[in-house]
Amino acid sequence: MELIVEFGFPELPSSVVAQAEQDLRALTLSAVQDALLAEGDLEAESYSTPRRLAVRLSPLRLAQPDREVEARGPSVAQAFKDGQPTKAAEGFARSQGTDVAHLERRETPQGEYLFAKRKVAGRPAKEVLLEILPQVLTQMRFPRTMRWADGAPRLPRPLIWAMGLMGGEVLPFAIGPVTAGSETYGHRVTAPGPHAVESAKAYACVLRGADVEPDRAVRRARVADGVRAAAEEQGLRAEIPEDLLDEVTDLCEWPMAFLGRFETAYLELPEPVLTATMIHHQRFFPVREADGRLAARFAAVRNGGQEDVVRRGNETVLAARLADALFFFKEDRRQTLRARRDQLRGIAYAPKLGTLYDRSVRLAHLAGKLAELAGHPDLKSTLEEAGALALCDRATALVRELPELEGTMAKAYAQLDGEGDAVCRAVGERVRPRGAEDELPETPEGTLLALADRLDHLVGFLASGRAPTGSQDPFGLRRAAIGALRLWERLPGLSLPDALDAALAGYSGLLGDAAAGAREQLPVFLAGRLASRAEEQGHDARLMQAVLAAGIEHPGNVFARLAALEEVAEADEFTPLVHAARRAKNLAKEGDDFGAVGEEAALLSAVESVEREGDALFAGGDYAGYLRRASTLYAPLDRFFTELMIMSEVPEERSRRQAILHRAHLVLSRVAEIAALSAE
Amino acid sequence: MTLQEMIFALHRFWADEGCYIGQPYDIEKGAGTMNPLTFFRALGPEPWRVGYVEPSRRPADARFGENPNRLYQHHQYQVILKPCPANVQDIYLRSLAAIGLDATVHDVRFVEDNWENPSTGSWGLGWEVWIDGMEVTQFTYFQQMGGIELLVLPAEITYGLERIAAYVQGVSNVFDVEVMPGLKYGDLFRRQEYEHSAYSFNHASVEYLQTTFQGSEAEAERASAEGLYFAAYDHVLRMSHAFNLLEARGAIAPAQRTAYIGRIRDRAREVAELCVADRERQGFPLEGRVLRWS
Repeated sequence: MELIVEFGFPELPSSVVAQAEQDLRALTLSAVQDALLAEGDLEAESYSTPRRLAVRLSPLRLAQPDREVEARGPSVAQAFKDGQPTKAAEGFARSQGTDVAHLERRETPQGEYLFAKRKVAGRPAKEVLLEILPQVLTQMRFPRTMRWADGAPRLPRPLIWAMGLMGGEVLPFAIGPVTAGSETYGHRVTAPGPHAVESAKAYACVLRGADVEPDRAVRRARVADGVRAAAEEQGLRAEIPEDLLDEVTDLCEWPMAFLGRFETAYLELPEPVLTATMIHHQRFFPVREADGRLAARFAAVRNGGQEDVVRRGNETVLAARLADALFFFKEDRRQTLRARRDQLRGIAYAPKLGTLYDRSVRLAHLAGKLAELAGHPDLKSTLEEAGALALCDRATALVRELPELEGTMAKAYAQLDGEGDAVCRAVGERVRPRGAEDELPETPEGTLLALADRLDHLVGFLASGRAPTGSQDPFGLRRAAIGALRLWERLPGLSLPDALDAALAGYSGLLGDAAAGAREQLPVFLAGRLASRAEEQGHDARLMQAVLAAGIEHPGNVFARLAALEEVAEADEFTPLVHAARRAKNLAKEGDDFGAVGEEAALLSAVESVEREGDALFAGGDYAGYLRRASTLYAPLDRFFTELMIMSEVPEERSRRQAILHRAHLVLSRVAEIAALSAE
Repeated sequence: MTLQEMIFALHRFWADEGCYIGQPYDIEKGAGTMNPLTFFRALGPEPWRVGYVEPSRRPADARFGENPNRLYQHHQYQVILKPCPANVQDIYLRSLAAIGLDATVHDVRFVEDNWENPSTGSWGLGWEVWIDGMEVTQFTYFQQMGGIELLVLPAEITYGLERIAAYVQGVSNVFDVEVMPGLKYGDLFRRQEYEHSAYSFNHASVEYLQTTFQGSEAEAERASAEGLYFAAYDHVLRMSHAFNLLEARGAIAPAQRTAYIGRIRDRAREVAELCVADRERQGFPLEGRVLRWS
């Protein structure tokens, strides 16, 4: 038998549709399997539009199989007193529909217990589905939900209708005030319906006849193809960003692409202003000439209406937005970007952390200092200039109107003002990465300025006592930390203590002694972010903890060290090495290793040779090579432990042996504190 | 269709849907939601349907009458349907047809846009409705009002009248909108827009506004202590408008903003709680009463 279930909503947020479709499919599959209704391997197809989520499953059984279930009762000790069954035993037997004599005794790891076996007749599929289908909806998770009816699960929008069919028969399950039927609804305007659906197979076909494309992949392809074709017809090329394509796909049920135009006068605006207005504000696809220049056209998608009317309307709206933008652009251009720096004195950065002008002073100094520390002294003056200029676009009208253009406009205005190329690149790249997965800056100057920006932010807010709590992170410190760590991977030579000192120096005037608090807080905060980022990416938390325990003096090498540890930890000889490292760590004590003989001397010379060769491997970033080289210490360590009594009665001998172990432990724990990986 | 005819058409349409056609409330406010016909009636279990025009003042949006789209005062057409009918979007689409926007001709979209008014402790989920790419309506399923969770779901439909009129009439500047034959929007409001812009940004006395804010706050608290929630609410509205002007005037530092909003919210919550308690004492008189509400 085949099952189809559809849930109908007023337009869902476009951002939830795709995920909700996957969740519905997975939850329905597992619910049907858990209810023993699958007839062999289930096949599932799922559908979604802004107004519906649906799943189709087959083959299903008509009823659950009959089966025997076993229940565990009281322990034998509790079940009998003086050879007579207790109330506990009798109660259990009764609840299982049998008597004590028919219960089985069996030994378990917890002792001897009573067991009952009972035949359970399978229930008809329909009856079971009426129970489990509403639960599927209850189990779904959405980012924002609302109350909409008594006793109904919270959803992103109210449920308007539901449809459930198994083998042509209606499954009238109920959710709040809605009872499932055998009808679906078509396009809101052109074919609202209701439309009868006779079987699971007919579902998609019925909807296509009602101006709804229920298959998300097909709808997405239709948007992309339509947009591309509309541009190509005019010899132009549409630009199709993936996230815009996803959003547009989930804003319509029956997409139809068209091309519109705007006045060429607006091409005077910097390209990012045009594309941001089209993409973010209107969900239009920008269109380019064959040579790559932006054309005075846009491609858009409609869900209904008459093409010429809809085109005219969209053109009018875009023209109004571009007219505003051009007005602001011309206003902004009356002054150079540099000349606006003074206006930053009137814009607060955050309470206690001064104005944006104060921040720009800190940025200029910190970015220059980071350039030196990271081994780019040649970039120092560029970064000081870029740091001073980077925030000036916050004082422009265009960025006030379109805040997402911060950084982009700094670069655009700096270029028009004739600032140096490197400075322009740096101020443009400062804002990257905007999110955890956003692109990083491409140039070293951009990377350094972006890192200075995040360090200044983190240090300021941590030092003024505004660390995030729980799920609340109102100042975006977690995002800033992840950004900083990703940037740091590009700057392996930059040490955390040095960078932290440089960032703190900028706050000494504003925060005084409080600034020093961030010296302890920031490394802990970054370590926490590194651990959760590793976990999100599916790394073994214990390995990451071992890496972090070896210190994050160079935050940029943490993930490389983790990868090396993961590689080496797979080898068979790793486990004995871990044990040896743990013993070494437990017995180690700093001291004088002078006068080593025999096995002592053997271990010491092995340690010294790893120290010598290891430095080059470590400095070259070959952490796996380093770990493998350090692994050769296992044999001499093992002999050291077997042949010698570490805690010797002779004080000089004991302290010498402990001192040698101390050096061995240092060598073994440079990439990660592998001793911590011991199971004991 | 003139702006005036549009308002008539909406009045007629929503009256036929069982709405009481109300009047604007004569204290300055930022949105039609703050009219007592919405703020109080959204609370509690009683059913309610209302439609009215609200002149809404937003000092920060003032543009001296020079911007073709931005206004100090714009006119919202506000509708509340409580409880929200399942086919509310279809009813809304018919209302658009009544003012010349036929969904078979135009492309109508419901794009996620949730609404929150922190200064009255209110929020809801919903959409901005787009006609041919232009935002013309805010649609909200209220979830909380005056800090109180709403157990019976009200839907709010707020039309931006100037924008819709400009679109329907095919003009790109709201000041060119025809209000009635021979009378343009600019004839009525351009000078007013200029004056309120100049006043909001440059001339309003910060000291007077701060005194007003504090005085209204104290008075709201005093009236609430007497259980006079309608009277107290008038002062909450005055607090809110004084705050909006202070902000436009640049007299509120970002650090103080949250504190100001919190003070308005506290008073709004107080009146909302008094209202619910009073309706309960009265036995929720409108509950179960059917006009054409179902």
